[in-house]
Parts: sequence; C-alpha cells; structure tokens
Amino acid sequence: MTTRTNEIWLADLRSSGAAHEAAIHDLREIIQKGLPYALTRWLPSNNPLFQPLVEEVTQETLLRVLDQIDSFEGRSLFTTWVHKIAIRIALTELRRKRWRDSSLDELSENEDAPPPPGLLADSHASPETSAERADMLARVRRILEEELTPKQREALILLGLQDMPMDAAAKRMKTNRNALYKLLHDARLRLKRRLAMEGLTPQDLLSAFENK
Amino acid sequence: MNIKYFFQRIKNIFNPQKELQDEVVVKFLRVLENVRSEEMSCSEMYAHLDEFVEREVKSKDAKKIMPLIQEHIDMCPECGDEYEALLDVLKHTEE
Repeated sequence: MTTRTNEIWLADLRSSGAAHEAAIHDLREIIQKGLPYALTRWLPSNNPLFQPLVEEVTQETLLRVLDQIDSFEGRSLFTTWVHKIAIRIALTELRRKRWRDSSLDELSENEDAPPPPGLLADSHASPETSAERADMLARVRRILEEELTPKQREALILLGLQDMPMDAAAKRMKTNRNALYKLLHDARLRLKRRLAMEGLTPQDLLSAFENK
Repeated sequence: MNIKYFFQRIKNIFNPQKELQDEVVVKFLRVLENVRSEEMSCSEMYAHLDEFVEREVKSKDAKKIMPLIQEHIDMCPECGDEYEALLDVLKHTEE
C-alpha cells in the first residue's frame, strides 16, 4: 500500500484514472482493517451479520468521503477522519437495527412496568433507610415535575427508560440530535440549580439510593 | 427566574403528569453531577473528534487541552461510544 500524506490523499481522490483507483483501493483496505476494532464491543466478529455490515459500511464510507472531501480541514490524519466517518455510519446502523428489532408493543409495556428492583425495594435496607430513600425519591420527583417542560420529560423517558438512540428519539420528537442534546442539557442545568437551591447535590441523592 | 420557566412551573403544578419511573430519575441524577453551564453540541464534538482522539493516543493530553469535548463525551453516551470506537481503531492500527 502506498503511504500518502493528507495532501496526496486529497489529490489522488480528487483525480481520475489510476491514481484515483489506487487511492480508493487503499482506502477500502484501511477502513476494513479498522472497522472490526470499532465494532467488537457491539457485534462479535463471528456473528453472521458482522462481515456484511463491514462491507456495507465500507461502501457507504467511501461514498461519503468522496462527497464530503472538501469539508476535511486537515486537523487530523486523513485516515483518522475517514475512520471517524466509518464509525458514525456503523454505529448509526447498529443502533437503528437494534431499535428496529425491539417491538414497539414491548416498549409501551415497559413504560407501565414496575420500577426495577433495588431502588426502593432493597431487602437489605433497614426500614428507616428505605423510608429515607422513599422520601428522597419523592422529593426529587416533585422537583422534576415542577421544573421539566413536557418536551424535556418526553426526552427523558425515551432516552432514559426506553434506551432509544438519540437519533431515533430526535426523529420521534420532530427535532434533531443537536437540539435534543441542548434540550437535555437545559433540563440538567435547571435541575442542578434547583437542587442546589434546596441544599441537595446529585451525589447526596444517588447515595441515598445506592448505599446499602 | 426566567419568566417562561416560571409559567411552566405553574402549569406543571396544575397539570400533573404521569409519574417518572425510578430508573429515569436515577439515570438523570447520575449525569447531573458533571453538568457545566458551557456546552458543546454533538455536531461540534463530532467535528473535533478525530483531532481529539489522535491527540489522546499520541500525547494523552487531549482532555486537558480540549476539556469541553471531554465533558460532552462524559454527558452524551452516543458521542462517547464513537469516541471509544475511534480510540480502539487508532490504538490498534497506529503504525
């Protein structure tokens, strides 16, 4: 494989003919060498979906790189920028697939499911501790109910309870990932300030729930 | 207090919503501790992710030089996943 500087990568990919073909060939190899390291946390390499996913992501990455090549600003190695694009495509696809595979019926059932064990129903906790936790939780819940807007509540439920991917939640809420992140950030800041006004810290509250 | 939020609070008192589950409350509390008033959007983080990870692999000072990116990664699990994945790729393919 030819070693290229950023400038040579850009020149070869923008050219036509043999230099372009060779650059595409080498880039394909680089993507396919890197992707398995990015995917192993998500999908075992012996999974039958692994190789087709690598192929699909490689193809899509090459198209996107050629399409967005003018936006490369040279702040990193060109190949690092390409790996970043491949990872975004691969993880978006995996999240979309995981989300699509969960049935919506199951999710709406989960919304009404009882709370997970261990938060309030800790069998090892003394009655006083359980009562203290219940009081803390009720207090936090009251603050949340007073402070959160309906949209912030919706986002918390989709992301916090249903584990919906950010992109899917943004789509459901007819917004985009940046705006959704901002919505959550504003909610977190408001809650943090309100807790501080009430003399509470997130750590105090978590300790009340988690310490046995 | 922002007037919009004041009215929102009044509205919430008179229109109680379905109770949030414990799991949602606890997950929310877990990230609250690290919230700062400065913020970076997912797009801004993504634009700098390659530079950030390269710096982290080469000189381990990325978190110090680019603290806002680190804060975003800590707060946003999906951007955090992309950071971890790119870090894994660079660590294993660096020549």
